[in-house]
Amino acid sequence: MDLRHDVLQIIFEALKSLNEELPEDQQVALSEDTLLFGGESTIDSLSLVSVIVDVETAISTQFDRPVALTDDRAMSREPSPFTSVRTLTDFVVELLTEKA
Amino acid sequence: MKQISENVWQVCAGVFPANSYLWTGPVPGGAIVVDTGLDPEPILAGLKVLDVRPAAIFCTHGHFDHIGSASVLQNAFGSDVYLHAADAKTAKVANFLMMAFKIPAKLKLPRFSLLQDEVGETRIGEVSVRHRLVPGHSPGSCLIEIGGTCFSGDTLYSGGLGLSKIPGEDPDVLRSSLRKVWDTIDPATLVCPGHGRTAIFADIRAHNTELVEFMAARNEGMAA
Repeated sequence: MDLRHDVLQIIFEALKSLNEELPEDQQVALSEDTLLFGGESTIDSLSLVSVIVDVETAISTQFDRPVALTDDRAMSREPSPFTSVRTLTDFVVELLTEKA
Repeated sequence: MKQISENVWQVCAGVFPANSYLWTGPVPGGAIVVDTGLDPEPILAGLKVLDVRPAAIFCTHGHFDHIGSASVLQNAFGSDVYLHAADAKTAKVANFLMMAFKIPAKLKLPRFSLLQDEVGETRIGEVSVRHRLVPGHSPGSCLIEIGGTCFSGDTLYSGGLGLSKIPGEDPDVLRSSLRKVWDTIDPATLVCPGHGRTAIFADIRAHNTELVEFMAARNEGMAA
């Protein structure tokens, strides 16, 4: 399995957990184009925080190395890694392919 | 700035208001600051009015509205900034939380001196500052006690409960922490919370029914 696919599945799992808490008409699409943060995102602040923390934990567990998605490095990136599922996936893959 | 007691002043300001406290007494520079909101200006102005400098800064926990101005004060006065080690990660995600909550501010972390252990004392000049770890609102939340004053952060409010659903919060752990310290706090203690008004602990015991009911409830993980 390729790394990007694995990361994407972890993010989708986090969104599935979020969907379990949301009413039918507010379900978040499991798509790379889904917006996570910004004016057009339908995900509220607490849900976004929860999803990102879930992804951070799952990535660190699955790949057996600490990965920080919520520190100031992520915050200083433009465009924000939290903009969409795609940008978040790309950011995580970048972190995981860096030399330790 | 509002005077709370003979030697405690409260400052509350900023885009996400939280209480900061200026304690004055026999320490180098004459003051200790407890919690630093997002806006340093009113704290700096308060220190100037009182003609004191902070010998130390204690943060009750690592949320952005309690550590926000710590680096500004540290750079201005060279003060040590104390935070419990269990909240070091909480502090590191401060800017992420502010982004998520669309708060138009960004903070720099100070160089923290990390408090260890569940209970401890830090000597500042002639004063002993006691910390008691009370996790629940966040993993490293502490009661900071100086003499008869308890700075309680978001763990113990004069009214209501310090629950916000931010990751790291655990209502069952908060309940356990409160039960553990409840009967150990002198009823005459002045409680200075991170939000809302200050109160004498006896009054909180008598009138904060939401908190008392929360403490009496069963933990979510327990069978009914």
